[in-house]
Amino acid sequence: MNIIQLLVILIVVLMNTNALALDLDEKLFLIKKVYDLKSKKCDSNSVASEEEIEAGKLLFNSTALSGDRDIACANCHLDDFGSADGIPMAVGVGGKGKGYDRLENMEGVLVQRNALSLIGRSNVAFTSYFWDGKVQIVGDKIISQFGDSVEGKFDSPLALAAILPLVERDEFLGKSSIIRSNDIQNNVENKVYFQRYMAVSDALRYRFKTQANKDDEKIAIALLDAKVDLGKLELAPIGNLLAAFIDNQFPCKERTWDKYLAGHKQALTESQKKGAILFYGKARCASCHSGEFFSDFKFYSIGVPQGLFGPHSRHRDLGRAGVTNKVEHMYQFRTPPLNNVSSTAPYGHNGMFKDLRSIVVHHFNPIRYYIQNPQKDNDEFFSVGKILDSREDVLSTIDLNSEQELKQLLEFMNAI
Amino acid sequence: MKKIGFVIVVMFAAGWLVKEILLPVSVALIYSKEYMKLTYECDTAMEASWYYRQNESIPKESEIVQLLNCHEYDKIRKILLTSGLPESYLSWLGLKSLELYQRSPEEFVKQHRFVER
Repeated sequence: MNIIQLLVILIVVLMNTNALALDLDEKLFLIKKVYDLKSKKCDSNSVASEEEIEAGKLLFNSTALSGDRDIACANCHLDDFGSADGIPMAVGVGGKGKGYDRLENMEGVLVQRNALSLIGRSNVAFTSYFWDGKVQIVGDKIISQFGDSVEGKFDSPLALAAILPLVERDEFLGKSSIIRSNDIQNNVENKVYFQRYMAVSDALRYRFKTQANKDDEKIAIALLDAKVDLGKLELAPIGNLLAAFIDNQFPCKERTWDKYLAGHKQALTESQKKGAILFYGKARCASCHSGEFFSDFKFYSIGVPQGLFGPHSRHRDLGRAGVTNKVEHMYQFRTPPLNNVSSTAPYGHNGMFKDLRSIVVHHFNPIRYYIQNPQKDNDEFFSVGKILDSREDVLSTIDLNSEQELKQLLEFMNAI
Repeated sequence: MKKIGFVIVVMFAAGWLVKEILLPVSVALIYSKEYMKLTYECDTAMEASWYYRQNESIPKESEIVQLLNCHEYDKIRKILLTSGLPESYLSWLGLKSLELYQRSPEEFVKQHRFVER
């Protein structure tokens, strides 16, 4: 044996010694134990009949629920965009087309928030809905702007969430105008809370009883098939039917990460495995993006820039504070679930981030956005400090330190 | 007899060469870079564990996962030490990776020098 052979053997032995260290799968096994991770179950718990699902489908796709008969749920929740609309802010009443066409046609009204995906929303793990959690379930009680008056009427929080757009001016009621208004707007006037619920319920009941066109006629038949009493029609049964359809049409999907958790070690690439270790470790993502749906359904601020649009006064978006009126909730939004996240661009409550990378970067480097996008008006310029100050402490504990790590994290996010 | 003695001496010399020079040098070549990387990672993990626990701003789970880097660090440190590399070499690698070594003003001045006009 010559010295070269000896050296080669030595190197091989040394390389193998490294195998004593934990490999990626072993590390992920430990992570599974520490976080008690399980592949998610996407089975539906729904007991809805075929007629109910069919009626829900009809309602979901029909413009008959909107004041001016010009918008349906399906306009902003499309399969092409992961069941969202693919644009930064939804375009509500008066909008035409889909995706960016809806913005470029410039005929509609901005809803001033990013449309959320519907995938998996019927799962019991979902305890709050919308960016500001204006619909929540606490124990068995569904909490919303309608108060206790609707208690027991909705089958699930999703059912209540599904009808909220119907009582919103920009989403369904119709374009504001001094000289014209539609039947639903006439009923609603300036009503709020439960009175608004009743006003829209009354107007829709009248529509489907009188059946002014074929759409109304079809819906009336479908409602009867689903055993809904037209004479007592309210928004609640409409919400229950919409929720039955959403549950059927947009179930949560088993993703590559679920396959890995179920034991298929080859399901993830090496880079995705490293990304998963970062996600649950020093990138701190799992601090808030936890559980099967990667959300704790609580409210936090990551300091998303306000931009020039928002649903509150002075074109701001106060986030959770808009619901609770508490100063400590200013600029906080619900932790967005990350399932299927790679196909639901753009990101943020106002769609400020066009790709996944830019919003992930904003978690640990919020300055970059402001350097690349100078403030466009006075309000934005003078509010930057407030927004950055509202950021959560946990964001300062993110310990990513190379481009390669960022890339691995993003690759993992493609698998969830 | 003389031949056996010669073989023993050669083997002893070869063994010494392997143990004292070849083994440490090979190990240093293979693992130094990785050791420096893990020193950095483990330092970050321990610091996170120490500081962030004080205000409980990070959940315990992510801290445990991050500390796995220290397990890797310990493994490689043992390989380096058992191969005969001196503790002082490991300390030097550690300091270099954490940028705690003494630095010359030249390094600082270099950043401000025109390199082309």
